[in-house]
Amino acid sequence: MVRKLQIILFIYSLSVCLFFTVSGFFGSKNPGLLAMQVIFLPVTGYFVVSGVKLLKGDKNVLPVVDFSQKKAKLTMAIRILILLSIISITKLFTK
Amino acid sequence: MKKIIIYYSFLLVSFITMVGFWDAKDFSQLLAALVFYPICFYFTILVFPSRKKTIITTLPKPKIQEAIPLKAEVPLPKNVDRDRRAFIKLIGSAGMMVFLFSIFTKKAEGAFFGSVPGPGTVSLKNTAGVQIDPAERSPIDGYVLTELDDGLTSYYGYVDKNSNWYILREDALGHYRYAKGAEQFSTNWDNRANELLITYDTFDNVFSPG
Repeated sequence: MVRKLQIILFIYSLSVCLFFTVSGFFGSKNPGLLAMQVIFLPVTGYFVVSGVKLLKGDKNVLPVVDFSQKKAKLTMAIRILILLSIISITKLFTK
Repeated sequence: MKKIIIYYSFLLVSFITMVGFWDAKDFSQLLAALVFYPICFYFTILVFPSRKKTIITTLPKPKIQEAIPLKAEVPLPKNVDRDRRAFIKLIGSAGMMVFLFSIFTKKAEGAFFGSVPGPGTVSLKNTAGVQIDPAERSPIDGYVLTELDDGLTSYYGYVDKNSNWYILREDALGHYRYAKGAEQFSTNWDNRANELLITYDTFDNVFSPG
């Protein structure tokens, strides 16, 4: 289960970064957006290099997600996400 | 090098996510922040690893040596404090990111969200708090005083560079009335007092676009 979650998280991040970078480079019409792609390039590069390492069999590139503890990081992340979403939606509706 | 990239990515993605959540103007921007949130989570657990991974080892008992009296303060060897080095790397990557943003983009949120207007739109307000357009022009901008007839009823003739003109009439009661035209200012100025040839009216009726 943990292994699956690690791989899903990694593939999701890799896909989003690749999509963001590739679509940004090909579709950017203003210099500001192109500069953003250049700034974001190391993130995509990290995921691509890690993906290649993972394909070669190196399992250390994946982060460890801990389910066993009560204050697990995933639970905390979901709580923070819910909190941020509530704040944003509240701000959107109050404007 | 790998650690620097991880710290850099962590800061960048965290910044994008937080700005996305905090300054979301509509649901599309909120969705963009939600898309980046799992990546932010990924780098968070890379930067702050689990405590369970810490290896606990039993250190051998140190050999007790005889105390040697110190003659002078022994200087510490360089590059010992790894926490300090990591902290400097963190600060350095954050500074580099801010520097790059300041160079490439005037509005960072504009870069994140493409053509969607960012939350940092600058607007001006008057003293009553109503938003105003600073680029709005007065319809009589560009006109220069050309003729003046000062009397009981005074006339002021204004012309712009395209030969458009208007005449301002001031009567004894302090009423100001206007007449305007597109050419032949001299002829119309000569007929300024002739109400049959030139019609005077209030500013809004003369200069309103309709």
